[in-house]
Amino acid sequence: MIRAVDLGKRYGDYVFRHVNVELPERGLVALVGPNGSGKTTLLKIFAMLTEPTEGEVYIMGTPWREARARHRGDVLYSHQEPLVYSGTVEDNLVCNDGDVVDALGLRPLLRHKAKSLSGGYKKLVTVARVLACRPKAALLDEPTAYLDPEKRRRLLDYVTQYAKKALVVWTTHYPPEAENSDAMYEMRDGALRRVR
Amino acid sequence: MSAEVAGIVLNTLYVSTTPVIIAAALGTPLAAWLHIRGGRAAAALKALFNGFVGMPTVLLGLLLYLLLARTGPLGSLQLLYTLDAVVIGHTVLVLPLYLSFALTALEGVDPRLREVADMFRFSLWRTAALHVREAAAGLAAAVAASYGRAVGELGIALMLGGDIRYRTRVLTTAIAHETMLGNWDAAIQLGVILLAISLAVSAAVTALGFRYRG
Repeated sequence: MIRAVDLGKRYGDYVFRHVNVELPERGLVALVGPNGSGKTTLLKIFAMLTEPTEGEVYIMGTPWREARARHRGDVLYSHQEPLVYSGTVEDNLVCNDGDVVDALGLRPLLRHKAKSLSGGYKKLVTVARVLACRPKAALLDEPTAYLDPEKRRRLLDYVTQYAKKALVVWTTHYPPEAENSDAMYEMRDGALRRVR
Repeated sequence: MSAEVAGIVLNTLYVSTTPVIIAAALGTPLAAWLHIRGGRAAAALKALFNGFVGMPTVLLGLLLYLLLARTGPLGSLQLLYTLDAVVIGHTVLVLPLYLSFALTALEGVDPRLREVADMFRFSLWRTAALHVREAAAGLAAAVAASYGRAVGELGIALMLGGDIRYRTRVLTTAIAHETMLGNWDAAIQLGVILLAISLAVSAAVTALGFRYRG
């Protein structure tokens, strides 16, 4: 689904380099690592939002630049910080998918103004916006941040189910939380390595 | 309020409201497009608009006077000493101001929205509408500032309107006229009306901006 070959990114200094990874078409892949290690940058490159400095990324076999035009809606990224805009929760979801809405407990809030929600619900809307459009690869940046244990469990249950049909890559600071993932990678000191 | 003062107030509302509506109608989509497009051209245009914000109204009035005068390039339109000439002048005056404020307001919109628009393949129109809505409070401030600039402006109103009694006299020219005649009470009363209009429009527009943002 996503293949990185000798990938590097720098903003002045290198964030990471010589990253080689091949992610499958479906499955739950966790990406762990400390703050500032480059997890978000890597996901944004995979989501075709940030251009790599060196190396190549293939999205569904298509080189990164070409994939931006051909596979734009196939790979969606959910931001680390909650991101909602003016309008109702329904307006914010972009795609209409009742399963996601029900699974994440957003149904009663559909008519509420998104900006008036708590941080946790804003985060759920941010993640639901991506999942509701049913991308072939969902890249979720710290999806469980801001969530209480109950919402966290509901989200992880849904994401685990979703990962049976598509690729889900998610980041977290807490490796124990990622134990149920099919694969786990760690980004540290500018390098990516497979943990298991 | 006498019929003459009522006429002056109506003239004032016409020559200040119309230019602001035109500036907002033209400036909002242009500012949104420039903001979304980004790049050096957009930055250069913003610098240009900022430069015109402080344009002396008397100089602008003079340039437009030369254009609209009977012997000028647009003299055949016979617009000089009409309220429409003042509307043209005020539009030219407030458009750069509106654009400058609007672009600043749009710069305050969360840049991650652009990423959302890209990923979810929003059309240019939907992306622009999203940004405009997010910047609604700032755009309302742009309208209020533009209105304040137009309603309180004297140089253009005097040079292009001519302060003709019952025809092109507006509050600012009327205040100047009454002051020169030594009619302080009349001048102050007109000034209070001018201030009230400015504050009322500003408050209404600001409230609308916050409501629209939702």
